[in-house]
Amino acid sequence: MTYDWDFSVVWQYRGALLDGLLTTLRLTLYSAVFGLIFGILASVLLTARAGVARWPAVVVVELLRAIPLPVALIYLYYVAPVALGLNLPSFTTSVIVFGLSFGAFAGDVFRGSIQAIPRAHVDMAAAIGMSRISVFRRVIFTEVFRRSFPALNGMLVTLLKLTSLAAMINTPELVQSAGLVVSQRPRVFEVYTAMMVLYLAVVIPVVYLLRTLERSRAFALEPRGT
Amino acid sequence: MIEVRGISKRFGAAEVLRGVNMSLANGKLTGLIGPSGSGKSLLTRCVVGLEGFDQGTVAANGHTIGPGADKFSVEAFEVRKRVGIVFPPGLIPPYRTAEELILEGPIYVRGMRHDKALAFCSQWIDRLGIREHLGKFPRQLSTGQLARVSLARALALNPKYLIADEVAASLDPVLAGEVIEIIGELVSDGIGVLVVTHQIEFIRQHADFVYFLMRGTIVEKGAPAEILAHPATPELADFLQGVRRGR
Repeated sequence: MTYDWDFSVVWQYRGALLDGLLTTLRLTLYSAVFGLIFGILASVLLTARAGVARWPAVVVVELLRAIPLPVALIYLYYVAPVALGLNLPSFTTSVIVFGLSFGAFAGDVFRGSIQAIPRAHVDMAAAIGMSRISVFRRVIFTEVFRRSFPALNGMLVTLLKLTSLAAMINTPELVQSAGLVVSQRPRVFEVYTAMMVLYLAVVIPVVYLLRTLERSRAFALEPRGT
Repeated sequence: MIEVRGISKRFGAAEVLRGVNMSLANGKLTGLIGPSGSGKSLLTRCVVGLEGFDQGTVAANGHTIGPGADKFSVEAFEVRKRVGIVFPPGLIPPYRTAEELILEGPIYVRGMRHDKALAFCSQWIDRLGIREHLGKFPRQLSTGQLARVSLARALALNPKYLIADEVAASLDPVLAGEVIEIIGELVSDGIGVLVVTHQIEFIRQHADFVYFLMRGTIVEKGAPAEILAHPATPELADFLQGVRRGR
């Protein structure tokens, strides 16, 4: 038995597939940005000395990390409108869910990085007379960034792939778009092959780029020089 | 002169510094010795206001750090202004080149432009023989080279006092000798140096004055030739014997 491959369908629906890919990328970008902001705020609270500030943050972060993404997507999209009167578009819902999840993990990564900064590094900066602001910028911020970068890289690539779950609530990202194309012209193998190739075409360069950055002078915690 | 008067500090129930008095004179090499855990490093951190304390004062340059002052307080800044602190090579941040480490003070504290900062620090860079290593990261430097980078960073702002905590401890004898020689030259230049060390021989040969700290108190002090040869207390005698045995 031979299958009669016909990739013309991919070309015919290239617009829909590329739109889907673009939505995947937008979803990833918006979620990552939202997540980073949320993660930074969370890490500030997670490392707070006062329990009043720390404990609520710990609870929220642990909850967000515990809820499976599909459950969160379905809940916010189908249950929240009825239960809370919260009627959000599917793209927005996806950004919120992925962003909060990314942010909860990022917050924990930042917390670990903040706590890993040796006191001596702060002292060395204070010793030469740096102000609190300069110490924050040149030591704390720099070091949290460099310490967190490898972990965030992995999370970003994972996020890019996880956005495919948004298809569950009909966000028109790549998987959803491919599904729609198939429903128009049922060339299942060709369309899904194209979908796979598109993912790889994006993920592989992203992984390579992030790896290169990770080792660079500007991003590495322990650069090896040029 | 840096005057330390009656410094006490406790962590919870433990009183780790108990009414310490100490003075550092310009152009003199002062040694601080004592067993591990005696509070030497903590004391030096208090002296430069990097660590707050519960009682006592530290006075220098016409400014006084009082109890409870934070490391970013104005008084701590003022006292530290003329004090260079040499950190051990193992504690140096791994993500800055030797040049960035040395010029950080001139550029980010004094606001100098890069070329001016480099010229400003040139004498130390050459004296310490690290010009060829300026572009390297700590990972690419030996411990000895890093120790000299740390010394250059502390000297970059031309301090009147220098505090070195175990600077030579991780160096081989030749390198330690070089660093010690440089410290000797600094003292001749009129800089007041405080060396915290386990190397009694170094103190015996080079220090003008020595303090022996144990359990947070100065148990003995005086000219090294006297107190190291004739300890007045059993504590110092025991300590010296332990060091001699290579503890």
